[in-house]
Amino acid sequence: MAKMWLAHFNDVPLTLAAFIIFMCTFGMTLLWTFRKNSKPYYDKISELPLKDGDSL
Amino acid sequence: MESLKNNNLVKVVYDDKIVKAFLLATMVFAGIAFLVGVLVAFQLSYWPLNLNMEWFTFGRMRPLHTNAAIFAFAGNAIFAGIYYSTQRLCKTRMFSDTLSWLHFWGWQAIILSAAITLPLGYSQSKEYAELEWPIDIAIAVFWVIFGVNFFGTLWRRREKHIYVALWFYISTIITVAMLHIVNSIEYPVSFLKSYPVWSGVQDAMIQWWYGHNAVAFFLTTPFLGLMYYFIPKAVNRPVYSYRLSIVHFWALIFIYIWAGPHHLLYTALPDWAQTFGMVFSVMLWAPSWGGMINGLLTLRGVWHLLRTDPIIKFFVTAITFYGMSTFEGPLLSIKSVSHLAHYTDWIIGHVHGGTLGWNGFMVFGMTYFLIPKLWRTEMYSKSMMVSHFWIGFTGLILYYVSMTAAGITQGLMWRAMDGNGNLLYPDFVETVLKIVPLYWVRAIGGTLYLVGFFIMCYNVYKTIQMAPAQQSDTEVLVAATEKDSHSAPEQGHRRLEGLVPTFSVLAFLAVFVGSVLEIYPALNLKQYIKDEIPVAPYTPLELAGRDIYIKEGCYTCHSQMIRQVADDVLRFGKPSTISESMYDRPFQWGSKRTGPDLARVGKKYPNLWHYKHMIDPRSVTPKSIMPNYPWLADKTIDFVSIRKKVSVMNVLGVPYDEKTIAQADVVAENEAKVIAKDLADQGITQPGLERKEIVALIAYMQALGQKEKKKGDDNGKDVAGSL
Repeated sequence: MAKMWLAHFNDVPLTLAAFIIFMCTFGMTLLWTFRKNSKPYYDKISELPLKDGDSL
Repeated sequence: MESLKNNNLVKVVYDDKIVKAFLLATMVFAGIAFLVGVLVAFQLSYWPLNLNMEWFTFGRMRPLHTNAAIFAFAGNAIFAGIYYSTQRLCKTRMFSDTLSWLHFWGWQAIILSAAITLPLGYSQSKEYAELEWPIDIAIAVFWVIFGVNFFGTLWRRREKHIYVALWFYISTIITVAMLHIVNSIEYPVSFLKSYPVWSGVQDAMIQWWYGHNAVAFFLTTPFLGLMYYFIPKAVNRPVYSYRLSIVHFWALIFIYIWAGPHHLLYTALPDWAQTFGMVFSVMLWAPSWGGMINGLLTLRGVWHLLRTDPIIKFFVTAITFYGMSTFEGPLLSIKSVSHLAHYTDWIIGHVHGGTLGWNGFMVFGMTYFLIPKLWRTEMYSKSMMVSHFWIGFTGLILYYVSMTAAGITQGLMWRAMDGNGNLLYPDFVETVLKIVPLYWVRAIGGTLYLVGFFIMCYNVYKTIQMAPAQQSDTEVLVAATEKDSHSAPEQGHRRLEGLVPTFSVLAFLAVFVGSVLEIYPALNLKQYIKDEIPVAPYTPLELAGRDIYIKEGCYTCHSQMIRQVADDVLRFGKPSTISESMYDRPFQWGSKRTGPDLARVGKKYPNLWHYKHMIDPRSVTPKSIMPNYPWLADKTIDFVSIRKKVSVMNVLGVPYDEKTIAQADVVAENEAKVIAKDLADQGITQPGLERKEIVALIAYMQALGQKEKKKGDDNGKDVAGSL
């Protein structure tokens, strides 16, 4: 099995498939992150470093 | 900690003492790392500064410099920043004060061990992983202690959301542990000597998977975490785009792990692995620049601070150098560019643009930000901060420009040919002498950087001196429950960000999958070895000489890898093969050619040439900048240890016969007598020469490139095993 896998490591279709899977995953992450109506939430989270707690 | 129930608030006391300790350790070791860096820069400009002292030569000082800069300076700085920001982002004290201090003192002990063992020559010769096995174990133990303390703090946090800086810290802790453990699997020979289980191309692949990702996950991801925390704090504005930071994180950790093979382009590494490394390196442009833009645009609307606030000057310059380095890195990973740049000082310039510019200036900015806050005072002198910035920046530019120019100059000279296809500069030392003036410029640049740092030290000293005598930890009031922060149930990535174990597992998978796919095929070494060309292992004396070569740090200036490019072949001989280094533990392919490649130096010169070259390189190569190694003719070979070394090599799969293993010391002594007699015949009349280290080193040098034997030729086996 390992030998078979290694033997096909240079196959262009396999490499291309891996690349497409990676790009699709990346694209979906991108779309999800930048989806509509999420901005207010992220704006709030991005304030975290500025709200470390009120000093006594 | 007491609950203030009426207001639903709790008082939290942050542990500032541990942050102060790491910050001061950062400054102490920055001084040492920079000082040794300047020393080695001057040693390259003016070889007599090696002082003919074995523990002071470039080969031993250079690993001390790199380890001090990476693990002592940058390491302590990372810990200071992480301990400060994690407590505040989680709104809780660190999980355990005991673990915090164990981590602190353990790490300093590791640094001290490195500072003692590296100049003494105890080295594995794997770049940024030189330390010997007991120290490797200590690193793993104290890294785990740090991890437990960090994840315990996340577990106890009062803020549901894990801010993006913490994601970068998580990926750092997980990946560095994986890199360190896999690259450090070694078989002990004695208390401070070991051989890696990986050999040849496996070792090369795993070492540069480690080496590249040490840059990625020790010098980049934690610093990006610090950037996402400290820059918003310094300008009092949130990060430009939090959504961009999410994409930045996932894309960066997924892609970075694949790029290691770009350190091995045109070598004997299989082509598919080289192409892998190149493609993923080029892909790194996108996330790296996304992060840089995110950092810089955080200053939107407050760019005037760049004129008025020295801390912002440091931060903006750091991010700019991050952008420059992460543009240049992928550029250098393109095979045709690598052909020109690899083994030259261009790489040194690139690395220092990243470390001095990105890491150094980030740490300086963070230190100037933290010192007044931790000691509850103002910085002693703002003008000194500005002076530090401009002097350090000038030094940085001088360093970067001189090394880039030196690298391109030498790379072009190496490949220059006349109309008949002959090398225009066949004499290697000619290409070195051409760039020595630029070595002086580099040394001056490094000195300026150091001067700037000394100004900072004085400024910090005066600041702490005028701080209130009574110091206490920071106390704050925070919301008692996480429910105060969010009312709606979390979904998707938002929910994931609150689940530390799940998030950590996914981050681990992102780096683990890439690592396995990258490394696993290379572990099947046999598929690349041609059976018809057997390779003989090193003889016992050659093995002892190889260990001396490693001990003296010869790999810091000499490669043993003739690339598959015309100018390398014309200059050094036929390209190196995977078979030739199949028994090399550790591999010695190298990463820099301050001197020529040595892969085929065996039998090129007589023994006498090597003897003279070691005692005084200028006696055979006028104007050479190599240090003298006179102690090699004085120090005695440890013949007794050779038997154990051969035995361990045999356990690791090197085919020595039983007789050779049992009497390796006798075999080595007989070999040494042959070389000593040859030297005596040539007029070297030193008594007891056959027991001196120089003889073993000569045996090793003469074996380089001589180990491949055609089928039917038993010479190779006989040489390894004969009595």
